[in-house]
Amino acid sequence: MNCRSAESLYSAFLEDELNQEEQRSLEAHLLGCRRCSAAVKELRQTLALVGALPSIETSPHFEDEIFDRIRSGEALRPTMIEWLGGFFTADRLRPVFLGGAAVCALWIAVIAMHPDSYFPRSGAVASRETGAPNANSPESGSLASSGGSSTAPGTESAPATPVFGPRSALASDEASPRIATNRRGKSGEDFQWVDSQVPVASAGSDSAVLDANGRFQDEYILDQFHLDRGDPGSQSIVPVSGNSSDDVYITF
Amino acid sequence: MPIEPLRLKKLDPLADLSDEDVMERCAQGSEAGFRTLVQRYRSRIMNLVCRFINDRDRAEEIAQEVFLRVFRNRERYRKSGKFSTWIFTIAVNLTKNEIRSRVRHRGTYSLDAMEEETGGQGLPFPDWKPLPDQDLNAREIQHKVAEALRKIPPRYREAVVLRDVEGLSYEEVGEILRIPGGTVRSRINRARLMLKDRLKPHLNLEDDV
Repeated sequence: MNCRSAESLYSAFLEDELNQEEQRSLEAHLLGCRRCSAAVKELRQTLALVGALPSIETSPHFEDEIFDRIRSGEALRPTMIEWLGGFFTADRLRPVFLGGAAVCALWIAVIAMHPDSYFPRSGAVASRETGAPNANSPESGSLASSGGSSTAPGTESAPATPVFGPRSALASDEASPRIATNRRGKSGEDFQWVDSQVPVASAGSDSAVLDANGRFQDEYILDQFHLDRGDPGSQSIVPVSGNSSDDVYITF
Repeated sequence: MPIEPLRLKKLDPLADLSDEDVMERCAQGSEAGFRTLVQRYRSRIMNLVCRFINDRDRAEEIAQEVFLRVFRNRERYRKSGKFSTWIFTIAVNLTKNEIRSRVRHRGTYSLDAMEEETGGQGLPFPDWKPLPDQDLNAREIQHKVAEALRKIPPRYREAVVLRDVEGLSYEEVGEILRIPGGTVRSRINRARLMLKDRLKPHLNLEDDV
């Protein structure tokens, strides 16, 4: 132990707070170091002198003055900090906290029910920005149309409109709205943007946004619909769901 | 033979109660409870504040304000905490505010600059009354100790005053100053070493056993 580390232990030594090892080590150092030994003695005397300082008494009217100030009411006005602090007591914060927690829980529940409305998938964003579907994303075929197909070849350019809320709410009875969507080949990797005429009676879970002309700006087509183009040069009408009774078609 | 009238000794019902129990009575509206607390703590609070700011008149005003804050906030006191820690925390905070205010008026914002403000020479420190039975040498030593105390930096002074003048535990000092236990011990040790160095010319090693 050197003098510097011994010095840091003086107080603990005088107050018997050292463990056995520290005590033994410091005592060994003090036996061989006159400077530290003298310093410990001086420190002991210093503590005795500080402890012997006389008490400073209050004036005889101290107590009466306090009670006078209380009775007059003058001293009972809270300071600005105390006044503000009154709003943050545990009793007041508890209902506020519980109310806030309830609102947060409700909000999370709404998001969990409609995650696609609040968190568009990355494939859709990429397609929207580049104007082309993302071939690496298996989701791109279905998501690119949710507001981002305005730049697709063969479609009219229209400002993209973010869609919030359930997409089914956007289904309308518009007759033969023209939609832009992407087409996925049978391999699932061959994408091609096509311009389609779709009579939509009910879009189900798809989304569609009407543009200024009353047309659908885009529409969400589920991945599982593999469309047949039909003969080149001739239009074919394909029921989207494979069931003609639901009146949802895509024309080529 | 005349019968001596029976004298009933007036008992203080709060005398045997802990500070926390008395404070609870006070929170319920007991004026006697508050008076008891003032009587129990007036000297300790006065001592603490006066050792910090070295101005007796101002120290008394601050000490009064400490008790008024206790009264104003009596319903906020939680019995789970020690009353002494609570009231000393209020006192330390008010004293620090006073020191900051003085420093600000001097146009400096360094806390270490408060050493000059609160411990500079020439500031009044009438901390004791004439004690006829004390010899001059003892009074001179006390004066030197008080002077040494007010010349060490405030952050060390507050720790050593709470520990060595008020006799609080290290844990209480840490709680009041809101610093960890290791820092408390380090500051107190350092403060004591500073005091020792300042008092060295007045120490008599031959008297030490």
